[in-house]
Amino acid sequence: MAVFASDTFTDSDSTELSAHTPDSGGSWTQSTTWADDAVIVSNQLQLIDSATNGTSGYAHSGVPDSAEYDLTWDSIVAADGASQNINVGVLGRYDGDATCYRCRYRPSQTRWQVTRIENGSGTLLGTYIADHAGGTAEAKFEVRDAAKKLFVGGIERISTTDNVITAVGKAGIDFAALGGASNDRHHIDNFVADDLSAGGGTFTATSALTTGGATCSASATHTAPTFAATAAPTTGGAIASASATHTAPVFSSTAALTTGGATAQATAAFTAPVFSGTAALTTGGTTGSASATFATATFTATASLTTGGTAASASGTFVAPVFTGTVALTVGGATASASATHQPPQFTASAALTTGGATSTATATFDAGDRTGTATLIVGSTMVSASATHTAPSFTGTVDVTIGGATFAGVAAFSDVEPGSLAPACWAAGDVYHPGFQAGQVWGG
Amino acid sequence: MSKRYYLSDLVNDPEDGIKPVIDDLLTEPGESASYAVSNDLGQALAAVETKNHTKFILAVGVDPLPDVSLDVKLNAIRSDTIATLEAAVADRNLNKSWANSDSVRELLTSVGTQIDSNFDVNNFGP
Repeated sequence: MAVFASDTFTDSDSTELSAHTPDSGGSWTQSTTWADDAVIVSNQLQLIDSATNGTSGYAHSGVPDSAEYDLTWDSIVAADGASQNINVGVLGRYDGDATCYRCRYRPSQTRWQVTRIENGSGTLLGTYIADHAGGTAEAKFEVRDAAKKLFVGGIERISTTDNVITAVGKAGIDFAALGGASNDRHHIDNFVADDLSAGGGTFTATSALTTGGATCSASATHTAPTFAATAAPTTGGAIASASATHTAPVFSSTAALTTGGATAQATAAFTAPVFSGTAALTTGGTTGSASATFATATFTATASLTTGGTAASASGTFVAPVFTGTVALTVGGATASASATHQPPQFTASAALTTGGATSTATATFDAGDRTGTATLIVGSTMVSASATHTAPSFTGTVDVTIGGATFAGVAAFSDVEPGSLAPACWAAGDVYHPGFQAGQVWGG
Repeated sequence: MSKRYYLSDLVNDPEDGIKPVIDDLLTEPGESASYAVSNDLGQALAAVETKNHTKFILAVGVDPLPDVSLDVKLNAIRSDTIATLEAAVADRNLNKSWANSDSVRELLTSVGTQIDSNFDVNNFGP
């Protein structure tokens, strides 16, 4: 990345922009179509107060290496600025007069806008609603052939694929006042224009250090549009290495450490719109790994650990509007697992434990207005099961008991329990057989 | 926030210039919309992010596209929904150049590239 224009507008009050020298050098040139003055006040830039319903456009003399660059700036709105239709923003691929891509904030409309302007005629390409009256918003307008994107506070808010204007143009600044607005209610500051090149050519840097048994080396290379960096210290039996690469639109990084019998490594990658990351650790007989992926509306995360006879794993997924999660643990002959799902308005959870010949399971479901739950325990030849349903305000339930080969069905029942009675409190989903319970007894009595 | 796609008429606004009529419905903090606009066709494809799409679905001059994942095949969507979509596309003088075995992603690409030759659904909307 190379900055080809920047300005913090540090100068005497009332300095007109074309009379001011930008921080990056070069100069600002005023549009003949949007010809009102912009002036510096308190080291920020605003439309001159006297320009009632005025428009102003300035192009910086810096020439980007390509038609793909980033424009960043601060939008500063006075506390009472939300009532003022004074619009301020930046211009990309600007011909210096009235053709460009414009990205601006309109305080009176509490909205950011991206617009294509050809010979003064605008076509709106995107809108984002937000209010920062009384504060500052950090904005970035990313100009690419593939898309024109607005980021506010580092978060992407607008992305349009329009590419009608293809000329490299210049970077610029724009003001427009409407409805007799007070022009001093909206300022711009900290303007930076940054293209994607490094100014041409290939840059390479390497360093190496050797002392005793230790060696450390690092290298970095940039040949547009690819950036790559690696580092590798070696000391005794330990080796560590790391690398990072960026070839638009792919970012990736890896790191690894090996010492004795242990190896740890991690990777991360981003290729729009997918983010993914993995980590793994191996030491002796123990292996641990974790991964996470985000692609558009789907989030997935998994983790696992294995050591000797023990294995544990967990996973979670979100595909709007459904959340699911599972965990599992296995030790020797025993396995425990649990899962939960939420799809509004229903929640479901289940758990299971298996060890030797015994299995225990439990499930619970909640659906707005109703609650149901069941629990089952099987141990050898004895089974106890129970079920209950609650549809407010009534409860119903049965308990069946099987001992050996004999089954006692409906040994207990409860129903039509009034809200507030003790009956529901005596039983809860997940309870197992109560040893003191007698056939024919009314549950909750 | 959830994202849905819409076809929208255009209007010439004295302050904003040519814009989709759906833009005037953006009022709530956090709402956003990205547009592919053809002034020649008088049509826009919009990707709208909002907590509640009701006002956009019911708006005059706006046609919602199917609210399903981009990878869902069109032949898996209710036939009356597809019929409504095809009628809306025809009314807007856009071509139906997709097959029922195509996915919603291919439908969006077909409609989007008629409006904006540079359209790419993977770069459209935040």
